[in-house]
Amino acid sequence: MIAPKLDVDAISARRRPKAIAAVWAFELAVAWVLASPWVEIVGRVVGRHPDGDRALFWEHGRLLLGDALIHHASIISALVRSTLWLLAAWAIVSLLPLGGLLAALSDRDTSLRNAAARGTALFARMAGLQGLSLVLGAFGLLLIGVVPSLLLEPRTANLLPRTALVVSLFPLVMAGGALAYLGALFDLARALVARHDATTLRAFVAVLRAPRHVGRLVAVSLPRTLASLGLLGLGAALTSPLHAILVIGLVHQVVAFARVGLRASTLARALSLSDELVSDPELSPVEAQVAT
Amino acid sequence: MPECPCRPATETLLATWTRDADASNGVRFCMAKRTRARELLESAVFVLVGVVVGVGLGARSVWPKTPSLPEAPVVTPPEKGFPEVPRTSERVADYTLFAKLDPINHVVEGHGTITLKNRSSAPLSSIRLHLYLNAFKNDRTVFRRARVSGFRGGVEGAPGLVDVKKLSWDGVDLWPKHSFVEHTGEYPQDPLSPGAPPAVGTAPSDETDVMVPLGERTLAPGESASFEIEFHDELPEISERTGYHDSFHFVGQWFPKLARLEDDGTFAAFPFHHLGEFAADFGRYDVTLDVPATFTVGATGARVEQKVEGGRRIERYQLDDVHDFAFTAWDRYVLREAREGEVAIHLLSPPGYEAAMDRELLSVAYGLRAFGARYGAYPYADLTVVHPPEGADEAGGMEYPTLITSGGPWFPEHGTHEVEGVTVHELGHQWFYGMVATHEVEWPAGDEGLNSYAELGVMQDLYGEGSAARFGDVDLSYLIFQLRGAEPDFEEPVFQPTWAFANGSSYGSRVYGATAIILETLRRTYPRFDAAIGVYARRFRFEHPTQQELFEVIAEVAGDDCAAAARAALTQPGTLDVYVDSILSEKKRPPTGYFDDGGDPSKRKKLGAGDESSEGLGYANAAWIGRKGAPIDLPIEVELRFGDGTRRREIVRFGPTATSPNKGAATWRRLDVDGPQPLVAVIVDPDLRVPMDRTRLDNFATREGHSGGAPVTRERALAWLGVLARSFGP
Repeated sequence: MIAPKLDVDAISARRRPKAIAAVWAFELAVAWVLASPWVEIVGRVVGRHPDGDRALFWEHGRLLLGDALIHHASIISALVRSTLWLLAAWAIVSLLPLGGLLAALSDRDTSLRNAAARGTALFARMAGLQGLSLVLGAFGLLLIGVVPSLLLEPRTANLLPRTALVVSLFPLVMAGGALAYLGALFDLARALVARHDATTLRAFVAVLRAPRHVGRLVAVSLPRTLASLGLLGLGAALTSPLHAILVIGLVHQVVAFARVGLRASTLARALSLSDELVSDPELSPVEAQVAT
Repeated sequence: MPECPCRPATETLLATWTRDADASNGVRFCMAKRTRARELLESAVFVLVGVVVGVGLGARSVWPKTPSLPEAPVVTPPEKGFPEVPRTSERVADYTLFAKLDPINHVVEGHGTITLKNRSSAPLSSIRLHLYLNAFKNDRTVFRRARVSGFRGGVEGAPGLVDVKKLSWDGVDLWPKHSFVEHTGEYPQDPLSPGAPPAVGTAPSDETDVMVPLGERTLAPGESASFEIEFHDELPEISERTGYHDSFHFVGQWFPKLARLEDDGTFAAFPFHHLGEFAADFGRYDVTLDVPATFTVGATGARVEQKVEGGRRIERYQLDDVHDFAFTAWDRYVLREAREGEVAIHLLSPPGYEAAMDRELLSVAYGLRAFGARYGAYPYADLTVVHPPEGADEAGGMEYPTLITSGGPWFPEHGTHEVEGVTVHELGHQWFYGMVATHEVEWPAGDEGLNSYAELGVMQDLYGEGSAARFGDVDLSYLIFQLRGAEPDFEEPVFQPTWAFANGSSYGSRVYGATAIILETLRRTYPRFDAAIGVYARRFRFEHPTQQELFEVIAEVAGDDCAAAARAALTQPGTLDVYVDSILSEKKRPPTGYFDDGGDPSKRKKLGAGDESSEGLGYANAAWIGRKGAPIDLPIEVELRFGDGTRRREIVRFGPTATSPNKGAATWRRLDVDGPQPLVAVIVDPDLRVPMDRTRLDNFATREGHSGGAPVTRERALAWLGVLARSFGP
């Protein structure tokens, strides 16, 4: 299914605030679901305090927090486990808004209904790419990061501890680089799927043959990832001296919205690069073969 | 020639997807230069936002900062002022020793003179020596076989031992007459039954406590005897503080050491125990160490001589008024020298641990000020701090006179204070163990417990409430490490011998944790309690005080009430939990029913529900406060909050009263606080003056509709789980 597409120079995250807001809202809803058991438990433990759970964090809360950690360690451990499982489920479900966001960025039709329908239609192919990216990511992390790091460890015994740490972290940093490349590679593949209706395999093979395009996307996505992390730090800095929970919440959600915007911006660039990729004369024959 | 596809129709692009090479070759999707420039600019802005704003401002605002060295705390002395501290100890056991370390074979060859002054009232016909290194001789020693899980000392590497070659008095070798004192089955932790046969053949099962008869002679009260001694140490692989790891050597409990002589002429002798080892007389130590020239040495006392000859480094250390001597030697140490007042500080650490050294230096510099102000000035000229290398962690966190070992990671300040905590703790032992030399085996809380309390004070001075860990919203009190004492494995008394504890975990939680939180409770409750500990530490400097003497000082300085609470909390089994059971608050109603005026039934009135106005009657308010666990009577503060926002504090006590039905300590109290406003909330111990309370999570109650809920958790969880959702999401 190919919906009417925007011209390439019309692809922009800034032009799709509604789609970004929808994804942010989706994530907020997910966070709400994930948070609910925590809030319920904390409410049961300290909710009857007249200051509520403010007593855990402020004033003399440090000891009370210690009490809560000690006396409810098993519950906290169970909550952590269930949260991780829910996050794993979210990693799959999130392919729906991902497909929808790509469609919203790429299609002429700006309705959320269209985005949702396209997200659903793309789900299977997105899942295929996600599975592939997880397998390759894990393999890359092991091969480039973990194994070399473990092999290096005994050789660092006589180094200064800081040097030893740097040496043993170096493969992990390299693996991080590889993962960043892999992330961009799969973003480009997702763009091919969403904008050009490519199959999972065709998109994957195409981006494998397009390192230059992937590299250009890395150059776009890395600064945005950094900025995204920076926004997190900024959010923490702005709210750490505050006690007004509504203001803190507002700042945090503005940061969350901006981070979704940055991600959309990367995806928009992936979409425009996908147009270049399919029209690249050096890549077209290959794509043609794949297509046939 | 195809059109320049700066703005190609999507359809054209889609067509290229399956177009053959020749056809697509001409269709070039060119990126306009201005687009690239804009992209670069955007990237630069994003990097700026990420690195400068995020890391620079964001992380810096939540990252904890290293405190600068504070001035000494202001300590309020007791009414009569602090007593003068004695300048010297009664020197009972003097040691002049020579020790040569062979770091290849991990052997120490020692010889020298031990002088014992019979300070007791009885003539001595024998002496008792500790041969502590023999605890590592095999796996059947009391130390190795004891079932003491949950504490350090579990590492079992190469064995170690000490062989005494000669012990002579005026030329007569007394050693051939020695006998090892068996302690089989003496302690509950020993799996062997009393009198069980030796482990292998005729080998003694434990050789750490030895009795040496003085032959035909006796040592009269007031007389001194000098014993010439020769011994050979084989150091174990590092375990329970002593031994080697590669070329690193930490040599503690390495020489034949006189057991402490009691007033009645007996010796405080015992086998080397997993959880306690120190009980010795003060004396003068003069020790010459001989190590390879490439090694750096740290030792008890002041270095008074040093030379390098024949590839060997020879250093002589002297110190008076201490009761032990330990040293370390390693060929990779980095040495840093510093001063705090009159004290020369020597920091020894592995290469690359400069940041940890900074943290240790701050800890000992402030520790010397704070402990000095509270418990009397540090009397020695030197202090050596050793940070053992990775792999030799068992040597870390240990105290010897003027020589302590620290531990922890090499990182700079990062919000947790493991390095600072262990350093302050070991420094505190210079007072509680070093100068106030209680019997560690019989009364371990006398040094470890009081010292944990002292450590807590310094850490709170340095890092405030969040002295355990501080990062952003996580701000944990240092007390969290000691709270385990409030909820131990077993509710054993705190003040009992090491060998009476069920296991290492119970020992740790009661001796370290419970003592600290009980004493901290007393400090927060009784204004003069800390001064009482200050008097105790000064009065018993260079002495061996008992529990009774501690309680007497507390009563004298902080009052009988405080001493009674201390005695109840420290000597009885059990823990304390104070809590709010329930609250009652209802609008008062006018009287209803029959009322006989003057008791005369003929003047009986019947009042119905609506006969009199309830205006101005106010509320019937009550709160039930409970106590579970040990009958410890402390003044407990209770905060009462009313409907109009006013607050009131009351003191509740659970001691026996004349109206107690069983005349024993009460387990509940009811606070009746009728008034014009409804009682909406009650908080027991709102200022956390009772850290020994088993839990604070049952210390509050609210009326329906007045609970605070969990808005902070909701916000924090939404924010952080939102971050996770973003990471796992599209």
